[in-house]
Formats: sequence, structure tokens, C-alpha cells
Amino acid sequence: MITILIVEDESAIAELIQAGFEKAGYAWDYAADGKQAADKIEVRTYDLVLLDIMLPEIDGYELMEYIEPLGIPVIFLTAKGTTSDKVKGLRMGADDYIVKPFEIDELLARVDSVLRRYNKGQTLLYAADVVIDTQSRRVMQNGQEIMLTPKEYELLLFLVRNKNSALYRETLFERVWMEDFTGDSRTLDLHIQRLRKKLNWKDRIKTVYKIGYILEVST
Amino acid sequence: MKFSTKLILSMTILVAVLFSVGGTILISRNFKHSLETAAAQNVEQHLLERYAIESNMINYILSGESYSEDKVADYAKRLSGYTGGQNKVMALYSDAGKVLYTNLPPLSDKNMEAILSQEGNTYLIRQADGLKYMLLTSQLEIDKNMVLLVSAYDITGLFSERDRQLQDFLLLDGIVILLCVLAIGLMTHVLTGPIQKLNNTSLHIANGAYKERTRIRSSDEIGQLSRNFDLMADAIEQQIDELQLSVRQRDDFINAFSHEIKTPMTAIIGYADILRTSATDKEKQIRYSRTIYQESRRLEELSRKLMDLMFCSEENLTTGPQPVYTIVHRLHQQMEPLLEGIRLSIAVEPASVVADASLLDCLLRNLILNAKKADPKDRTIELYGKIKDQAYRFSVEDSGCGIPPEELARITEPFYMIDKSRSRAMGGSGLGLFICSKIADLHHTKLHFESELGIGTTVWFELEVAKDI
Repeated sequence: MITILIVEDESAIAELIQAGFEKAGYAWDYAADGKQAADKIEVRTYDLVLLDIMLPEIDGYELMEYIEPLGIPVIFLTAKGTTSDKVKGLRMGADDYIVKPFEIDELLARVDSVLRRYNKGQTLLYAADVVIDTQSRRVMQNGQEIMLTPKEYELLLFLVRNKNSALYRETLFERVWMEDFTGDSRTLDLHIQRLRKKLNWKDRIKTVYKIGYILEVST
Repeated sequence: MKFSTKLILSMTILVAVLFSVGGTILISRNFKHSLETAAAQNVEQHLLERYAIESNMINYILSGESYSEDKVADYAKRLSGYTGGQNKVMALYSDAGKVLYTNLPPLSDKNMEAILSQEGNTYLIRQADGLKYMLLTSQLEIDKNMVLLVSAYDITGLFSERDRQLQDFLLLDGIVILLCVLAIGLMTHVLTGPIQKLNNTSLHIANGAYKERTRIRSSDEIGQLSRNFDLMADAIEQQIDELQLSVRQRDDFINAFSHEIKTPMTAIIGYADILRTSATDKEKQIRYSRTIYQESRRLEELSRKLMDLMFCSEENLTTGPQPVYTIVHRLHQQMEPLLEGIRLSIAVEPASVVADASLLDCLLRNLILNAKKADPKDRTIELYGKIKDQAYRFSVEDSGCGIPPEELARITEPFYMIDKSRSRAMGGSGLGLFICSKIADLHHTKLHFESELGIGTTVWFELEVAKDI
């Protein structure tokens, strides 16, 4: 299992990231300052380090110098958002640089992308009888490819990534269509119906009263 | 052209011109003088020759002979061959222009004409056969016969003496100019050396070596310039250091500030996003919304502190006499609901202090809230006000957790927190004491911290007492 070390002195943010990683199926470990992080890295190896720069004791840049020779991929996660800060971080050998405030989905996508680069990532997502290859954007069901439109694919991906959670209509729409929800959910409902039909998932994609939809998959 | 080159050139030209002109004048005066002496001698000689011819011819005529041109020529010939080894050079011409006798060197007709037509005590100098001659002419009257006598005297020696002097002088001139160039070169090197140093140093400083100094230790104008230059460089270096420090402080502040503002924003956005995406269970919902609430309060506290900070500037400062009692009374009313059961005990001597009312209020409020965060064991915060040596000393005392001695120096830095998580839980922004020290600066005073771990902290500062109320 992929294990990620979160080095972040703000517990509120650390918890937020942990929630995201749990949902995405990554194991995590947590260090509240640079010293703790160095100790943890010494003891075991991680697949990725998510590193804040402004840390008590040892700051992120110093820690980076320590991690770099070990070959562990690093993503800086910091409030320092100027171009020169980014360049400095990337020059030091970081694989990516995320500026606060960030959205958890963006963080997960970047983590995926870095892990893929190291051939560690999950390019295949499984849900019941369906396999999604996120790299080639192909969907297979029982060895047969299912042809989906781009929006249908995005919708399926979001449902699978958030499987067994009741998802609000508004948010689903915003995430897939990247537009503000105007109160008209017909487009979304139509796409859900088409997915149910194409995958024969009438029983899996359920309507939740007053909320939206849920993809139920036994784990 | 370099200054030293200019100096060498101009000085050398001056010396060369003066020396050459002086030398030339001297030599030519010398020459003129010897020429005059020679002329006087020659005039005398010419007269002697003339008398000799005249008296001879008169004697001849008196002895009964008649005048004959041949006789005159014959006599002249004898006369010219006469005195010692040195031949006299002369010529005799008849009135009609016929040459009676001549042993003159060959001269052109034009020259001859000029020689024959000169009158009185004048002379002409002509060159012939490589020699210089002084030519004198006079008219003789012998028994009503007019004869022209021309005498020539060799003065080549005078000219060659002058030429020799000129040659010697030229050599001397050359040596003097050479010595002059060397001496002036040496002098300008010594004189312009410090200027060169000033030049190099100013270039280095222009290129960023602000630590460079000229340090020329002489008492002349250049030494003075160097000292003033060094003073200027000191001032510039200090200014630049201050500027760099303030830029660094500003950068640090902005970095810390963006960290402080983005962290709660990230948490708020993130948790709100989770809540609006999927229906989470009740327990998580409460936890996430509590975090959102806390982080929002943190942002709010930060923005309030920033407003305070914005008012901490010279422009907004209106100092005047402030009665301590009024300020403390108002403070007490304001603070009571915020202290959550902790008692604020106040003991102030009546007086007026020179201060900005709202800033003093802000300073005391922050100090009292800090004391509250230290969690005083006896649940009391004490505010004292005493007149001490013409100053009014405010002190805020608590019996709380105290400040570790190694942290004391840093607690007034912006966004510095001794225990971040505890400070967060108390709703701290890390700006309180920074604002306090800014306000103290504006009042030309300083915050003093006396603290012992586990026993408590006293913060005090002094203000000027207003003279009359």
C-alpha cells in the first residue's frame, strides 16, 4: 500500500489532507515539525512526502536537502506562492509545488501524477465489475470496453473515487461540468441514467432523497 | 587625458618656453654687446686707415708731386700689406666709381652698391668666402679729389662664438626639460596618487563594495576630501544596511503573513468542500464545522490585528496629556466581559501621561489579554501605575506560565508564537506583542519583560508625565 508522510504544523490542514488520503485509499503518517519528519524518514521509507516549508525546528528547505539524496518524491505544500519560491522549491528537487489555499481534489490529482511518474501510482481504479484506466481514459467491464462520452467518463470517475458516499447534486454538477450549478439538474440526471444503462448499474447508482446520488460497491 | 599627463605637459611646456626664451635673450644680448664693441674698435681702425691714407697723400702732394690715382692705389696696397701678419682688407674707389685698389673678397654688385652708399658711422655685415665681414665706408678728399675708402674686418669669430653658445644652451635646455619632466612626473604621481585612490574606491563603492573606504591620512584638501568621502560612504552604507534590513523584515512579515492567512483559508475551503460534496456522518459534520468556525475566527482575529497595526504609524499619532484614571476606567469596562472570570485588579497613581489615547488603550488591552492567555494561577491580572523618576510606569503582572528565557528576545517578532498549537487554541494571531512593541516605539519607550517559568510575567513600560492638567 502507498504510504505518504504529511509534514505540516497546522493540525487542521493535516487532518484535512488525511481525510482526503483516506478517501483516495492511501495510507499516511504525520509529522508536526521538521525534526519529527526527519526522525520518521530515518526509520522507514515512504512513497511520497508532502512537505510544508514554514515549519518549526527544521524548515522545509533544510528537510528537502535531507530527503533529496534518498530519492523519495516530494511535493511542497506551502503558503509561499511567488514564482521565485516555486522555482527555488523545484530546483531543490521537489516533484511538485502546491500553493495554499488548495483544493483537496487538486492535491490528490497532483499526488497521483507524481506517484505515476515514479511508477507507484494507481492508474487502475476498480469498482465492482468495472475497471477504469485513468491513464488511457478507458473503461472495461468484464473484459469488454464500454464507450463513454467525456462527461460520462468524468462523472463515473468522480462516483468511483467517492464510492459509498452520498454526493450532493450541486457539487457533482460543478465538479464534472466545471460550471456553477443553476438549479437545473436535468443534464446531470440524464447522464446518470445513461451511465446506469451503459454499465447496467441500475442497482449500484442509487438516488438519495433530497441529496443526490450514491455509488454503492461492496468493499 | 589624465590629470597627471596634463600637469606634466603643461608644466614642461611652461618651463621649456621660459628657459628657452630667457637663454635666447641672454645670448643675443651678449652677442649684440660684443658686436658693438667690435664695431667701435673697427670704426677707430677705419679712421686710422683713413687718416693714414689722407696724411700720406697730403705729404706726397706737399712734396710737389701731383695727385695720381695710381699713387693712391699703390699706397693702399702698401698699407694693407703692412701691419704684422694680419692683412688689412680694404678697397679704394674713385669718384667716378673706378676701382683704384681692392683686396676685398668677392661680393655681389647689389651688396657692393649698398656698401658704397652707406654714410656716417654705420656698418654693414656681409658674408663672403665663408667669412663674416664688417664693412665700413668713408669718403676721403685729397686735393679736391674724392676717393671712397671701404674697410672690411673679419668678425667670423663673434658669430662662431654665438653659435657655440647657442649649441651649449640647446644641450642644457634639453637636459633641463628632461629633468623637469622627471621631477614633475614624480611630483604629480605623489599628488594624484590619493586622487587615484579616491577614484578607485568610489568605483568599487559604485559596484557594490559599500565597506570600502579611502582612508587617506593627509591634512591637505585631498585628505579632507577623503575624510568627507569616507563619512559619506559611512552614511550610505548605514542607509543601505537599514534599507536591506527593512526589506528583509518586510519580506519576512509578508511570508509569515501569507502563511498565517492561507492556512486557515485552506482549512476552511477544504472542510467546507468535504461537507458540500458528500453527506457525512453527524460526528464528522460537527467536527468539520467546528474547525471551519475556529479557523474563521482566526482569520477574523488576524484581520482585527492588522487593522490595529495599520493605525500604528506616525501619521495617525496624536499625542496629548491623557489622564491615567480615565484610560484605566474605560479599559476596565471594556475588558471585563473579555476576561471570562479573571479579575483585573487596578492600582494606579493619579496623573496624566503624554500618549495617544487609542494606542495606549490598544497596548494595555493587548498586554492584559496576553496575561490572560498565560492562564494566571490566582486568576488575577494586576495593572499598576506609578510615578517613578519623572516617568510614569505602567506594569501588567500575572501569575501565569511564564516565558522561557531563551524565547524572551523573540516574542515581539511578528507571528512568533512560543507554543503554536496552544496559542492557536487561545485564538492568538502572533501579532499582539509585535503591535505592543510598535506602539511603544511610537511613544519612544520600550517594553520590558521580567518572567520566570511557572511563576509569572511582568511587563512594564514608561511614559512621559504630562506637565500640567
